[in-house]
Order: sequence, then structure tokens, then C-alpha cells
Amino acid sequence: MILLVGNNHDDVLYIETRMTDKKEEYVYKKYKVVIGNIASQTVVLLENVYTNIISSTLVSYIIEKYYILFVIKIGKCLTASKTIKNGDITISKKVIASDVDVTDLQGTKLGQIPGFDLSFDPSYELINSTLNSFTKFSFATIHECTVVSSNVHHHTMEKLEELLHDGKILTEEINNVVFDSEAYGVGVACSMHDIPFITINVVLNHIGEKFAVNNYVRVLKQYNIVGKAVSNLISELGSNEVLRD
Amino acid sequence: MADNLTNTPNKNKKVTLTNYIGRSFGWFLVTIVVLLTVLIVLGVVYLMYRNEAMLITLAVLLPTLIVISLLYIFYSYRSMYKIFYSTLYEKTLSNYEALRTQKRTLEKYELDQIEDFDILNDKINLIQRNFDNIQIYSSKTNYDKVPLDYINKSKKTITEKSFKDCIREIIYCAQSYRNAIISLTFEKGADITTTSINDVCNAIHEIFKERGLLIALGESNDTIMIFSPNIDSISYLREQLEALFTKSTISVKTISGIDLISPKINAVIYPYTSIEEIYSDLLYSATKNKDVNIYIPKRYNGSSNESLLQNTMDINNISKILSNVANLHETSIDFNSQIVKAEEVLKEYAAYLNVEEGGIAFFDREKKHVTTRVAFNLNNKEKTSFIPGTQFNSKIIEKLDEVKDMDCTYLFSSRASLNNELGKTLDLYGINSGFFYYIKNLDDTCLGIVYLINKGNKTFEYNSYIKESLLVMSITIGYYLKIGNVHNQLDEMKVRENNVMKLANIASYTIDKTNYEIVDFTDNLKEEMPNIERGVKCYKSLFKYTAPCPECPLITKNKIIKQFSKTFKGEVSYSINTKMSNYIELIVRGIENKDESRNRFDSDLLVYSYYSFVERLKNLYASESKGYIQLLSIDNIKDMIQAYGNEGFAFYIRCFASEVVTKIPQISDIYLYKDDTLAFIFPESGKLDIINVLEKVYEFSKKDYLRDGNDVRLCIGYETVKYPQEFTRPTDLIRHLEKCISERDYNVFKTDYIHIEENDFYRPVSRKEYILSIIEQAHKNNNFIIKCQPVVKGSTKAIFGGEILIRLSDDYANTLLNTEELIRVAGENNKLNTISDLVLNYTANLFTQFGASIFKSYGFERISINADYNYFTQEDFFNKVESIIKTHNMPKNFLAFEISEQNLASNYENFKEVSEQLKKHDVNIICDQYTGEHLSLDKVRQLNIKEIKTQRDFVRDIDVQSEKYENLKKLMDFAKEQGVTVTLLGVENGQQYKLVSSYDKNINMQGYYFHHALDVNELLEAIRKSNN
Repeated sequence: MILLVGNNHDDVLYIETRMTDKKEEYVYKKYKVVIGNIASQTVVLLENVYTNIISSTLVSYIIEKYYILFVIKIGKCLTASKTIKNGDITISKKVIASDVDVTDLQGTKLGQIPGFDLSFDPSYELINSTLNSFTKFSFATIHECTVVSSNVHHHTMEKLEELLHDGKILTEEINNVVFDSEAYGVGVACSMHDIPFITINVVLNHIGEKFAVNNYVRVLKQYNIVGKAVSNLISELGSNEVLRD
Repeated sequence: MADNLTNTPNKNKKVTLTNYIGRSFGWFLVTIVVLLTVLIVLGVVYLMYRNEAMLITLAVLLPTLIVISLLYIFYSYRSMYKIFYSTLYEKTLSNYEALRTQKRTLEKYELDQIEDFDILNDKINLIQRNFDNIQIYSSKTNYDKVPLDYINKSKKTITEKSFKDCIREIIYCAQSYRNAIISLTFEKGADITTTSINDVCNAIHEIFKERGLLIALGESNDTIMIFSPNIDSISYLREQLEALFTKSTISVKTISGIDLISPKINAVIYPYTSIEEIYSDLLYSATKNKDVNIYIPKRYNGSSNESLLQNTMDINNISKILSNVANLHETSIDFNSQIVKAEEVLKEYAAYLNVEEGGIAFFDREKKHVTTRVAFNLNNKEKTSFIPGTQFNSKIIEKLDEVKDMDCTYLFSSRASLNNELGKTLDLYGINSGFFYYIKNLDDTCLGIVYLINKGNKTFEYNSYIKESLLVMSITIGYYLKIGNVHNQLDEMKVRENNVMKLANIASYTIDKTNYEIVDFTDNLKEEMPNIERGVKCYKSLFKYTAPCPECPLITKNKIIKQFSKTFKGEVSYSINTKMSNYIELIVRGIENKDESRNRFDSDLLVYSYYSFVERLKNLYASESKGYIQLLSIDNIKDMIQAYGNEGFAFYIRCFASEVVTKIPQISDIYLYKDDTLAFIFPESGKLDIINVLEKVYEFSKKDYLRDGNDVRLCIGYETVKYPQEFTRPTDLIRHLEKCISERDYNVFKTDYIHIEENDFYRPVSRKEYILSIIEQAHKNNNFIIKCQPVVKGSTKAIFGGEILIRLSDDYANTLLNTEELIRVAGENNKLNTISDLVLNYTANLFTQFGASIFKSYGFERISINADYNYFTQEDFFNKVESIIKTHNMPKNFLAFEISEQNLASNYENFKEVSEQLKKHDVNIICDQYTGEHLSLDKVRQLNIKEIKTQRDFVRDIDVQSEKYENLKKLMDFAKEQGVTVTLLGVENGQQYKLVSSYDKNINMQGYYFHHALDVNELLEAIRKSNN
């Protein structure tokens, strides 16, 4: 089974439409889970997931309940980069947390949870396969970015100022960083169960910009490509191939 | 007999309907029987005697019988049609519709020679009388009584058709301030599943949580209508719609796979959009092609037909009544314009309530009493109880002060409920009912009165909603005027303070003592130090230091003397400040240099003196500046002094100078050149800029500043001299100025004329006079430029019509005069005849010469003339049009008038009549420069207008911006749906033409891509070429 996690309905709408033999379940009586097939692979869809707390809880639950091969998180993200613009598709090469600070514990770095690495790195093969899938449907550059994740939606850069130094955020080049609020939770859950994951985000805004309907329309257009690429990825990697490093 | 219905009604000869019908048929039968009997008798006689004479008689009688029968049948049919269809059916239907839509006015049956109709009319009178006193309002948003067609049992969604049919009732059910009508439209033809639509409906319910929300679904699933009964704020509605947008994406299966599509969301708000125009506004909003669009039209207001309570029983929507009050938010420099704005709001309000008279009185600080500023009578414009400009009856004010409520209002619904003392005074005016609002000053004295009054027996009876709205409206007007008054006083105080400071040779600036930043400064310091700016460090801005001055009074605690500029030296102290504040006001007392003993200000007129003028010229020469010196020679100084006295004249000039300096940004200083001559300096300016400025100066020179009934105003000769020319020193230039003044030729350089010495150009300074002089000149020399802009058919590019353009050039400015301004000025000064005669005659001559030979044979079908409402107010205009059409035998609809959308909107009611008149002569009106902002297409059609010409903006850039192309397509579709023909203006290149014609081949177009404006010969040539 493959788990797909989305923020709102639009994030997974394309995949849901492609699914056959759909059935619905509810997790904790609140979260709708749609289970169905794509290219003979069983896919579990989870939507309305907001914040790292919820994403880690729900993904852990689903992984324990079903036999999950890998997890894909699809959603929207923000950026402060000059080279990434609204509507660009990004995939994660690294996920770090920006709202974790337990540095008073000996040897723990800023952004690190004791007992875990500082960042969660999606599997190399999964990144490559995802990139290959995208090349079949889009000529546009797919950015490989570091996802800086926190439970806070960053409307301004002010809250991030403490983490900024010399054009870098937590030592990651700001031009190669996107911000979301669920990837880290997915990373924690997958790390605990030793399951590969990847996040695919479409850039909604630059940090500091107001929500604009036009930007959202661009994101929706990109979701067609994301949907096609993810379907292709599922069909190619859905068999029990080894994805773990 | 049957035809007697068309005769003048005679009350004494009334019949019942049964009698009438019986009599009609009775006479008919009797005649037929008599004729038949004669026929039979003759037939029998003929058969018996075979007499030829009998045969001839029979041959005559038979057709006669047939003809008489047919005539009877025809007349009976006509009379029955009139009774049963035109009167009974149509009037009853119209009354039922009026009852359904809660209109107050019912129509009566017109055939009053039939007794039964009198009975019906009596019943209508009874219902009407009940309506006059009835006020209907519902207690909560409950659609139970609205015949809605629910799609499911949960009563959550209804059909779009029933939504459309019952929109009026739905809105009436909503008690709240404003309601939104929203449409979600998905791409046409998309395969949308019911599940997807249900998801969207759930999202709608999630976002619009208010009770009374209605969702309507179209049959094809591609449209969802929403009625949101309550809008707290428009910005919040926008947020809701944006949230809805992010939740209403659906997936559709297409040939190429799966597509995610999102709807276009358009919303209109009642009452900004009237009920009748909701759908057309939604459609118009869709032409904007935005993903989320709230459309609030800029509709015309103030029509007499807007009398809400007279025409409809719907008084729930107080927001409609109060909608214009929101316009009173900006104070203006001119207090009088604020009063006029307040009057507009009051007038609108009075029209809604059908109140006869209203007005505003306000304290006049010069006359020291409350004066009626504005007054209006909606029924008879010339008759108002209180005359504007005169003192408002002080007894009324005195009594109102005693009897007013705590909220400063006083309402008397009829004479019976009026205070006795106040009643005595109001009886003198014949006032029967009304409302007064007492605008209170800070010291509780009267600052003004806002009033609405009825005369005769008319009462002022409204429910509590209306009464609350009265309070809101009057308090808003009161505060609006109070604030305006305070602003006005502050401005005057500032000017006075500035003048006093100038006289005392004192300036000041305020700094923040913590960081030395300038917080404020007086105007006269700005004149000395043009670079001074708020928010800049004082030492930097004033003295170009990089750190605080070492001798700063704040540091040394001592006064200092500083050289501020070459000509201004001052002693700086901070003695008048309190220690509590962070802001320190530094006083600069000017010290005159011993060698500069002459005063730099004229203390009588409060303008700069001649010596300042000379100094300024020296500075300008030093900086090698170029520009113009403007001398204003007062030609009637003797008359002015005689009329106002020395002091009065000085006061007049002071006011004039102050107005000019404060309201014309290009003029910063006024100099007294000599006793009867003022001067401005315009460095680095062009002649045309100066002419524009002088046009404004002229307006101020004619203002009544003293208001003492004297009508003598400044008469000025405006001499414009260029500097430096060949004069190398300021003294040489001054000598030249003297020469210009002394050698003035009064025959050519008349009073209130501009003379530009550089090219010896003269013109009246008043823009109006100037335009009139150009018209006169053009009329005299017959050098109006008339051109024709061809309109082509999109399919063939053949010229099918032309727009006549009249052009007058302003030779000096080397520009064409604005046509609208030209027509307006001509209209205001009775010169429109000249222009309209010219254009009409031109058109007629054109038709006479080429109508049969070229126009007809080449399919040139129409000539249109640009006009505005003034055109149609000319005496005998319609007769003139008629005579031209008849004399020249013009075909139907050959002549048309183009009126701009804005002009149509602002004279909407008047144009109804104009349109009727023109229709009689088969002349069309075209709505020009259509944007949809001022008039919906519905309203356009109601004026019998079947064609619009779009504003150029619609076509501009359609070849580079796909969104603009989409907008245009939607407008074209929308107009087509409404049965209105569109002519596109401004088609400028082949790409634009291709785009438009590929979408709609039959559309008419106009633009440089086809033809420029052509003169006659060019037009004929073009017609020959393109229409072959």
C-alpha cells in the first residue's frame, strides 16, 4: 500500500479521481481516509492534515494499521527564495524542523529532536524515481529543496529571524528552501517505522505575500502534473521493490 | 354604435357591461334580420315574377349585406378586444404583478363609460388607500411562504429556475443589512458529477454558516447560485469567496485524462444592485473574467422614480434608503461643496420617503446667524419654504431648542402632534408634518438645522426602522458638516497665523528633542527654506550640518542668531515651550540687515512686496533660471475702491491672494508689483501650463469675497513676459516690464484677456469665453472641421455607416478641443444651435448629394452624430430633425445619435422622453463609450436603445492579453443574449480584427485598422473601394 497525505481536498483530488474501488474509513472519527486502487496498487489517501503534530500521529497510525511501502506528502508550500516562484513544483531532498529547540540538552543541535537526526532525508531512489516521473509530464524544472517545516504558518520572515544567518536558514541556503507545516511530522513517523517518504510541494506564495486567487489557480494547474506524475510513480514503484537505503 | 367606446366619456350615459354587450349583439342581430328579410322577400318576388329589376336589387343588396355584416363583426371584435383584452385582462394582469412584487401603485380600468368598471375602480381605490398606510415586513428569514422548488427533502437546495423567479421574495424575506447573490460557474460543457456538486455545496455550507443561506442548482450542474442573507462587510465577503474558491475545485474526466477545474465566482450585493438588475449585473460581472469578483456598479442615483415608499411596500431594506449616507466621508477644502454633497444625500433620502421638501441651514460666521444654505422641493423645484441664502427663521430655532428630543431630533407626523408654539411659526409656512435635526455646537448653541417637511395634508408617518434611519442620516449629515466647518476654521486660522507671523517677521519649526527631527514648521519658513522637510534632522535640513549645531539653543540654553538663507537671518529661541513635551517649538524672529531696511512684505495686502520681487528676480538670474513673469494689472481699481472702500479692497485682494496661493499649487508667492499690479513668477514653466493656471486664477478673481451685495469684481489684464530673453540683468528686465505695462493697447489687450508677449498672442482668460470665441470664429469663417469615422462590418470590412465628428482646434495650444467640453460650453451658452444645425445640415447635404448615388447603392446605411442631453433640450430640435428627414427623404434609421453611457445615466429619466420622441421619427440612439459601470444592459434596453459602442479599453491589448480577449468575448455574448448590437471601437491592428471576427463575424467595428476619420471625398472613395 502507498500512503498519500494532503492538506486540503484539492491536494489529493486528482489522485482520488484516478482511484478505483474506493471505500471510505474514518480515523479517530474525524479524519476521512479513502482507500482504493491505482494501477493495481492499493493507495491510502489522507486529507485535511494540518501541522506536524497531526501528520506524525496520523501517518504513524496508518503505517501501523496497513502495510505501507512508502509515503508521499502532497501540498502547498511557501518560499523566500528568489529563484523559486509561485506554481513551481518542489520535491524534498531534506526535511528539517524550524520550531524545535531543545539545545539545553547536552549535544542536541538547534532543530534536532534528541534520538533523531537533525534532518530527515527522503530515500535517494525515491527522489530519483519521482524526478523521472515528472520528466514524463513536464518540461519545467522540478526544484529539489530542503523543506523547513514547523507548526507555524510563516506569514512574515520575522519569526524566522533567529534562524537566519548569512543568507542561510539553519545552515541551508535560503534560495533552496521551502516552508511547510506537515513534512517534519511525516518524516518523524516514517523514520520511526523505517519507511521511505517524499514530499511534493507546489509553491503558493512568497513569504510576506497575501493570498491571491491567481496564485492558487496556478497551483491547481500544477496539481494536474503532480497528479499524473504521482500516479505514474505509484504504478512504477508500487510493486514490492526495495526502496530503502 | 360599437365605435362609441372611443368617444369622449359621458358620465350621464353609463351602461352596464351586460347591457353593453347585449345591445351590441342586439343591434347586430336586428340589422342582419332586417336585411335577410328584405333579401328573402325580394328573392321570393323575383322567383315569382322573374323581374330583372328585382335581380339587380338583389345583386346590390347581397354584397351590401355581406359588407355590413363584416363591418359589424370587425367593430364588435375591436370593441370586445378593447374591453376584454386591453382593459380587463391586461390591467388585471399588471395589477396582479404589482401585488406580487409588492408595488404600491395599482392601475385603474380606463373604460369609465361602463358602469361595472367604475365598481372595479372603486375597489382598486380601496386597496390603494390601504396600501398607502400599510407597511409589510417579515420577522425573520423564513422562506416558507416563498414558492421555492426544493431539490431535496432537507430543503437545502432549490432549483435555479425557482431561485430566479422568486429572487424578489427571497430578498424581501431577508431582514438584514445587505444580501449577496453569488454565482459559481464552472466551464460550460464540463462533465460535472453530482458528487462533485454535492462536495461544493457542503463547502458552501461550511463557509457561509449564516441561517437562511439558499443554494440553487442549475439543470446542467455547471452553475450554482447562492443567496447569502447577511453581509457584515464586503471585505469579509471577499474572504469568504476566496475561501470558497479554494474548496470548490472539482475534477472532471476529459479526453486527455483528468482535469482539475475551479469555478468563476461572481457576486453582486443588494441593494447596490437593484433586484431587476441582479442577473444582468452577475452576467456583466462575469465579463470581467476574474476568478473571484464582487461587482458593485456605479449606478446613477437621484431619479424621481426612486421614491421607494411611493412605488413599493418594501421598506425592510433600510440600507437602500441609507446607502448614499456612506458618501459623506470626505471633507472638502470648500465648505460649500460639502453642503451641496450633504444636500444630494438628503434629497435622495427625501425622494425615497416621498417627502416634499428638505434643506439644510448652517451658521454663517460672517453674518452671525443660521442661514438656509440649501433647500429643495421635489414637486416644484422653484418653490421652497425656506429661501437659500436668507436667515433661517430664528423663532423656529429657538422653539426647536426647547422641544427637541435628547438625540436633537424633532419629528411631528401631523400638525395635530406639533408643539403649539412651534406650530404657530410653522403655520406661516403651511407646514403640516416633518422632521428637524438640530445640529448642536460645542457650547450648545445652534450650528445648523437639517429638515424634511411636508405641506398640505401630507403626514409623516413611518415605522421605527425609518425613524431610526432618519436619525442616522441626520446625525451623519450633522457631523459631516461640523467636521467640515472645523476644518474650514482651522484652515483659516492657519492662514491667519501665517499672515500674523509674516507681518511680525516670525517663523517657527518644531523638532523632536530626542532625535532632532523636524516635526512641523510654518509656511513662511518653507518659503525661505524650500528644502525643509518633515522627518529630516533639523541641522541637516536647515544648515547642512552632519551633527547638531554646537550653538543649538537646546544644548547651550541660549538664543542664537543664524543666517537661514542669503536673504533671511533670524534669532532662534525656544522660550515658549513647556518642559513636559518631547516636541520643542523653535521660534525664528527675523532680523533685517541694516542695509536691507525695506520691508519684504506688504502689510496691507499680506503679499510679498516689490523688493521681494526684485530679490527673487536676482536669485533667479543667479541660478540662470528660465521661465515667465505674470503681471496682473487690475483694470478697475477705481471702481473697486469706490465699491468697497480702501479697507474693503485690501481685504478683497487679501482673500484673492490667499485663495490663489492655497488652491493653485503652481503658485507659491504673490508679489505686489505696484499699487494696481500683482505679479507671479513661473520659473521653468511652459506657456500652456501658465494658461491653465490663469484660467483658475480668473475663477478666483470673480468670486464674491465680501458678500455685501456688491457685484463689482476684479477685472484684470494678464500680461505674460518671458525671462531672461535678451536682458542680461534683472534691472533691464524690470525696465522691460514697465514698458509692457505702460504701452498696453486696450483695444486689443482687453480686460480679462491674456497677452503672451513672446508671440503677441491674445485670448480671453476665461476658458468658457475662449471656447465661445473659437466657436464664433469658426462659425464666422466656416472653418469647423467635420469628419466621418467609418463603421465597418466585421465579415466583409465594408463600410456600413459613419460617425460624424466635429472638430475645433485650439490653434495656440495646437490641440483639438475636447468635443464633450465643446458641446457642454456651447449648450450652456445657447450656442448649441450653431453646432447642431451645422452637423444636421452637413448630414442632410451629404445624404442629398450622395444618398441615392453612393450610399444606397453601396450599402452605406447610417450616419450617427455625437450628442449629449443638452442637444435635445434645444427649442424645436425634434421638429428640425423631422423636417430634415422629410425634406431629404432619408430612409428609416439612417440618422442616429450617439450618447455616452455616463450622460445617459445622469439624465436617465429625461432620455426616456427623448427616446420616445426620436422613435417617432425613426431615429435611433446609440449608447456610446459603454462600460457597464453606469448602466446595465437592461436599463439601456429600457430606453429603447438597441446598440452600444464599447469603450476603447475593451479592445485595447486583446491581442497581447488573453484575459482581455476573454472579457471582450463575454461582453459580446452577454450583449447578444440581451438582444443588443455591439459595435467595437478602437480596433487598431490586424491581429485584433482577426481575433474579434473569428469569434463573431457579424460584429461591427470601428478603428484605425480600417479607417481614420475621413473627410467627404476620402469617405466616398473608401466606400467605393471597400463596398464593392
